Amino acid sequence: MDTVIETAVLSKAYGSVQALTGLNLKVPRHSIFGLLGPNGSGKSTAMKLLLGLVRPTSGWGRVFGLDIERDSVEVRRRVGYLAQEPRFYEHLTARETLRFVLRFFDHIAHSERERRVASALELVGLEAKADRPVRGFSGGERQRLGIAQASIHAPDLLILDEPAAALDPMGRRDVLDILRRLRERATVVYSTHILDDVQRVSDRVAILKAGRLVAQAPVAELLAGDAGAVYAMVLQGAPESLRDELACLPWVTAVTASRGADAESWVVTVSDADAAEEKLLRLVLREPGARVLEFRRSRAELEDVFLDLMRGGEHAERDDLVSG
Amino acid sequence: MRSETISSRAEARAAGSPWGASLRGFGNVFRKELSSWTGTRSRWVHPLVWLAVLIGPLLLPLYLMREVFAAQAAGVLAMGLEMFFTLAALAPAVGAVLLMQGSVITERQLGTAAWVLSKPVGRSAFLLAKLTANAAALLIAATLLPGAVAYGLLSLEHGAPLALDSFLRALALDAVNVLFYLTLTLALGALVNNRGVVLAVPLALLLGGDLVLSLAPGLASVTPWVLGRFAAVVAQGQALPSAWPVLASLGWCVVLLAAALWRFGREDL
Repeated sequence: MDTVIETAVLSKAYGSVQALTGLNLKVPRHSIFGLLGPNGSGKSTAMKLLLGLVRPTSGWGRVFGLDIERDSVEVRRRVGYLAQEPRFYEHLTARETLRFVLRFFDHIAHSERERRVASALELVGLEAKADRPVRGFSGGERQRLGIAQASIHAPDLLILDEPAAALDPMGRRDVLDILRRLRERATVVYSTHILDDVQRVSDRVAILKAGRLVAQAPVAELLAGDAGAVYAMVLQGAPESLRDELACLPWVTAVTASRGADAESWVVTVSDADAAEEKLLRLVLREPGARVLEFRRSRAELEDVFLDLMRGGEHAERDDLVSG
Repeated sequence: MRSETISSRAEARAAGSPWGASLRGFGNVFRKELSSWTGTRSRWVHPLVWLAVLIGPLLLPLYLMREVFAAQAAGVLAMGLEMFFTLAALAPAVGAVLLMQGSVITERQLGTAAWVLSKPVGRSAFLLAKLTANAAALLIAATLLPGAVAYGLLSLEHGAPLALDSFLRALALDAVNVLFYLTLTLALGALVNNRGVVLAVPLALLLGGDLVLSLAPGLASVTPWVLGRFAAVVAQGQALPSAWPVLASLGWCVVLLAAALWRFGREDL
């Protein structure tokens, strides 16, 4: 795996408060990497450590093979960063802010700089407000400007702390589109609370809880989980004895039922998906009077996995997910 | 990954020594700091305020209350020189404290320091750019410009141009005094998180200097407290009474700056 970010037992304590403990992270090149976790789980601290904004208490980290402490300035040359609550100089306009940022990077001709500034403003839809001071910007506009300033120098890596926060649904959709487009030339690491967005655009995720990494894996692998496949059925006229019969099958691990107004929903968890797909529906239809209105393999949602991990569920102890 | 690592490290080496990396971004931050003087109303407000503060009182002995001052033994010119150079040491120093007291703390608290330092900017470059840009702007607006006007007015009073070298050396002594308080305030902003301390300590030193010197006169040679008085003496063509206060003040600037750079380099943003 071509790795852009690698950390080993990276830790940070603020006095007696342990913000991050033993983080082992590996982010592959050109991935969209979601960093998940509740407030205070260490996501922002991890990002700031990578940028050299805070100093690790122990452990080490490399970005593009460069040491995050010793080579911090060079790391930042290749990274675009959006803070959780982006702050800018209030008296500068959006255009001046982007010019200011661009001057920190390679020396480029004035005309090229202006072209890049205009292009960045267009990318985030701020052309109409380009020449207004930032002090008059709404939270969403600041967020858009934050994305523009993070990506204006075409960095190899973008680290975005809650890029969709403070945005309306349209803005959120735009940000996801931007992330997808940026992936073609960069690696994107971002944190968010919006799990639906993560499931939609991310390749891999890392989940933090109380400063510790509890899972790190490709999204598909995380969703597949280790509890086996789950099948959902909506039935009419199926007797309780059939449910008991299914529950006794060697490849069935659990059957749960819930009664609706005119039909019953069964959720069958199995250890052998092949056996289930070959036999489960046949077994049910063999029962006289049983009608199957719906039969599908149920896909786990990232939210389920996330909540399971936050409750300290079985995924939390899985070394294979943590090691990714 | 291996080739990527090697090429990246080579680039890092090419970027220069650790000291070179820590100064990266200086020019851009310097330009931005200077633009807060030249790109806003400050561009004309500051010169006008400093002319009013430093030249206004000089009009008393020269024109408005000439008879009162002419009756004194020292004469109008000597009193005008002493008045200007004493005030030119004190007032811009107060201005330096007021202007710089929020410079670092505000940026740390608002998060703009973290934003700028997420770019390829050395922490030393960030602090040094703030110091040099504000020092340059303040010394031009509050020392050089009023100094030039005062030189013209006092030369008119003298009936011939005053000795320029003496006048410039006196201005330089006032400038060292301003630089000390500017550095002290900036350094405190990097060393502590309490805005009250950043404001109170320099102002207490500035305003309480005479009182301390009356109790411990020996401190005169290791503090900037006599620089204003020395400036008035030098402006009248006399020799500098002692170089120690100048050397000590410049030495303090270096020590304070080194402490600020060391502390800010370890600050979690």
